[in-house]
Amino acid sequence: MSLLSVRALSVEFGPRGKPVAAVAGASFHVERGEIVGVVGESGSGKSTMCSALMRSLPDSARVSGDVVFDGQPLMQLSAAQMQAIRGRDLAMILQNPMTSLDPLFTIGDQAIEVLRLRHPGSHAGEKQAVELLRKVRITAPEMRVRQYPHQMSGGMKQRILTAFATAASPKLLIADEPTTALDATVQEEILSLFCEIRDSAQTAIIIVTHDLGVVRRISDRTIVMYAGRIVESGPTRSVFGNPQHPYTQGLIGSMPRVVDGRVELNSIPGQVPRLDQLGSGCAFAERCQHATDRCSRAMPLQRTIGVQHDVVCWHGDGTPGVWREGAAA
Amino acid sequence: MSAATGKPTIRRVPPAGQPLIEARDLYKRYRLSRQHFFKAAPTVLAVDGVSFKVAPGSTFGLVGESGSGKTTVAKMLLKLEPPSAGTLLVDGMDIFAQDRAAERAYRSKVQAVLQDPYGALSPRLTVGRIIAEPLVAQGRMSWKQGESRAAALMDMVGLRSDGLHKYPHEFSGGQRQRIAIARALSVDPHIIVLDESVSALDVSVRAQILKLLEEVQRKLGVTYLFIGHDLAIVRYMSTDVGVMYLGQLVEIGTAAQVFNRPLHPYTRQLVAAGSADTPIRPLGAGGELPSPINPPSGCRFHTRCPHATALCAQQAPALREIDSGHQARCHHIEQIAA
Amino acid sequence: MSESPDARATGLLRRLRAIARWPLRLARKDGPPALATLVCAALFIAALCGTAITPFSETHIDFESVMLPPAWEAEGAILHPLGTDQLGRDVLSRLVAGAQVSLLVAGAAVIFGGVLGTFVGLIAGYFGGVTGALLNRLTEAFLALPFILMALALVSALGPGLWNIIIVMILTNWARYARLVRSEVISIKERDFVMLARIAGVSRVTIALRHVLPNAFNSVAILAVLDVGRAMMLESALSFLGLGVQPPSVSWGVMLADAKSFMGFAWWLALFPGLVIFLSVLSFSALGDWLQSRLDPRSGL
Repeated sequence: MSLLSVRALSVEFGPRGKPVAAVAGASFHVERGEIVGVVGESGSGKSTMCSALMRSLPDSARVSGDVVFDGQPLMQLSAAQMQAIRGRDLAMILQNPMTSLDPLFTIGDQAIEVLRLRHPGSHAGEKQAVELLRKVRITAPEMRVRQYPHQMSGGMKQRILTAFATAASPKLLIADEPTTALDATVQEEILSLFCEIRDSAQTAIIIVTHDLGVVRRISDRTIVMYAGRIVESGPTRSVFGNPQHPYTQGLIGSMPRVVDGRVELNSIPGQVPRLDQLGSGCAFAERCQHATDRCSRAMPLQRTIGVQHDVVCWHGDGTPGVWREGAAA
Repeated sequence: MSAATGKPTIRRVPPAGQPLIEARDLYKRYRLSRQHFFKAAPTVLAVDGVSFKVAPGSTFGLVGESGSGKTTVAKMLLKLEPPSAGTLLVDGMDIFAQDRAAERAYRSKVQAVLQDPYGALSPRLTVGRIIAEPLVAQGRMSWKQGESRAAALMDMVGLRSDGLHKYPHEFSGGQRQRIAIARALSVDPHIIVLDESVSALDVSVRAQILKLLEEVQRKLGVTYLFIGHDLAIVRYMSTDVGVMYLGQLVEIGTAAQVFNRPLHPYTRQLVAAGSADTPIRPLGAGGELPSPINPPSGCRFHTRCPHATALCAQQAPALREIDSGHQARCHHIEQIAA
Repeated sequence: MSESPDARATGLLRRLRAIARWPLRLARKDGPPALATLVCAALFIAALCGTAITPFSETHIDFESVMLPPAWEAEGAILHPLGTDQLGRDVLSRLVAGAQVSLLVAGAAVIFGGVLGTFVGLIAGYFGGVTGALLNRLTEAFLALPFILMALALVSALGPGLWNIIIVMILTNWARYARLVRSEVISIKERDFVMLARIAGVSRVTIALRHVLPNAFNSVAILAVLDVGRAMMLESALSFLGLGVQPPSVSWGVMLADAKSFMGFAWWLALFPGLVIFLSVLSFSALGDWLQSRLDPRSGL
């Protein structure tokens, strides 16, 4: 049984007469110890989807669909039950490490607070805080616990936040744009950290990002989202090696890559449509070079074209696309 | 600029061989606020002996992480900050030894497109005014003339000119960046400084803007100083590349040289981190980025270098030429390459 | 650089339309709090028309109708809906006349104090340097002085009276704007579009006026609206202490002062001026709050 099984998850905002779907009909699953990368640009709905899983959306959001986490129906749990799961079995790291830590308290104080919440009655103290920092390879943790967040670099803060999130060895960790605000070499460290968490505690990780390079390197499976819908999903090697959805192809092509000694770059024309202006057909149709009448009229059905490789497109049938694979630049 | 069509004209090519931009031993020291009453205020050497040349019509890429000093170099080229030492020549003239008139003229030679599309456009001005402002500020046109030129520029950057009377908040990030580019192009600059100009954009929009910048360079012969932290993009755009670390240039050469055969361990680390084929190494190999206030002794990179020896901690290496124009700052290049 | 007068007029018209668009945009959804708007509107009408709309003038003495309670009381008269005072003067008419004074003083204090303070803050924040530091110290000095003491000192120097009160209010008020604008300007200064304006060759003064000041405007507007209420209360306080407008001019504070001796049995003489002060201040505060919630989230609109 999957650790997380999501079926037809939808999140709507706005007046009931004219709802805007930030997420529409998302279905996917995450196994234990698996790293799943969710890729999308602005307006794709990836962050909203994660907030929906954590049930941390504002009351104005209308969430529908079936979510089963570790055998429990997540959306039907009471607030108290949800509170018990959040932080222990299900954890999330938010987007901006710069603002996630309280500037008024030392790292040690915040670590102790987290530890006491995760393991109630444990009377965690400075020693445990130091251990927590050591777990994520922070140098000189004895000194760091006495310092304040503003004395830390972005990378260190991200590692600390990861430490807090994994303090209780959650079954599933959702990381929203964990590497975005960080330098390249620091990104490396965070990715290493995630691998280690997965290996040591069998924690499954959902990484939400717009950085295809990160997804390609670390995730076992990839989910591509566009305008609130999942358009393609499958094993990373398959999605990157044989992308079927024109948007995925375009996205991969938008990364500069070296082909025959030259660096190539393709762009997708047009821009992401506004969520309140979507028609009844495929949201990508207006930008797609393969689009036909049918594409704009009717929403394509999901098709399986490879081993667990699904695509939502009228034209995806498994044959390799026009896009060429080359070594990344 | 052709008054008839309002379209910018192609750059005249300056004497062959002379670089358009030449930086000679640039230094920039900042004094920070005093931390203790009895100790002197700490200083940061943001730029430490940087030299490079940029040929007209080419793109010079400057790569580095935060604290590397690349933005400070950009600010110096834009005359927002004077160097503490060293000279910066544009078209053969020392830009920090200019009289008032030359300084005013310089403003029409160099323009910039910055990182944040949401902060770059004045929220209370219409787009037409934003694009026309440099022209009017430099006394070349009236507002009315400027706005009609703005319409032509909007066409050039792929925006509909009926947006002239709209406000910035009505546009998306990618569109705003196009507006910023149109504004930069309004005065027909010779040089445009692009400081992380696509970093804040979505991936697909990024590609569009890069292609736009390419097209502009092709048509108008503009020279770019392209600053970025994403190697793939810098590689795509640049003719020559300089890699900076804690204020120093650690490697410099053509894009092909630096990326196909990176010499300096830092460059090699960056290239590996950017490549999708590199497996993720176990933790512990990195180390923290040192504080620019207190840089490591000797070679600044030695605290994070897998090849560091005792020599590296004691003696700072100089930039030396390894291969026709390809230079690197390291004691052990030959051993590492082997 | 020649522009036809037509073109210049169209440009001006366009700019005026842009400015007018701003309050209209506010009026559409999430409208301002209804009661507060009504009260303020009533105040403005009262201030504009003055005693032209009341049956009596505020100085009309009528010994036949001394100390009449409000109309709904036993001895009240319809002609004097809110009663009369010890000289037979109509309370309602005096309230309306007082509205004129209150709004005039508060308005002048806010507008002139605001403009003065904004420019001081702009110069101190944008240009900085020695001038900026001096202006900042000056601002802080004025902020540190207690209002009543300053008012007392100034009134004893200048004497009481309407215009002197306005001067007092301006002098004690400008510093709050200066402080606010200075801190706003310092943060706006660092934003990219200001740097890009420098790169474009725009002169520093033009940058300050075209880019920095308009973006600080939102905060100033919010402060100004909240300030009107505060200014009205302060004027009332001064007048109550006898430092404000002198008879025969009337202000709410003067009415309160007069009512002090009669409060035991002529409760209406104190209640109505007090109520009007309370409602006015509350309404302006509510409007200011609403304005803040409308403007702040959309920074730099």
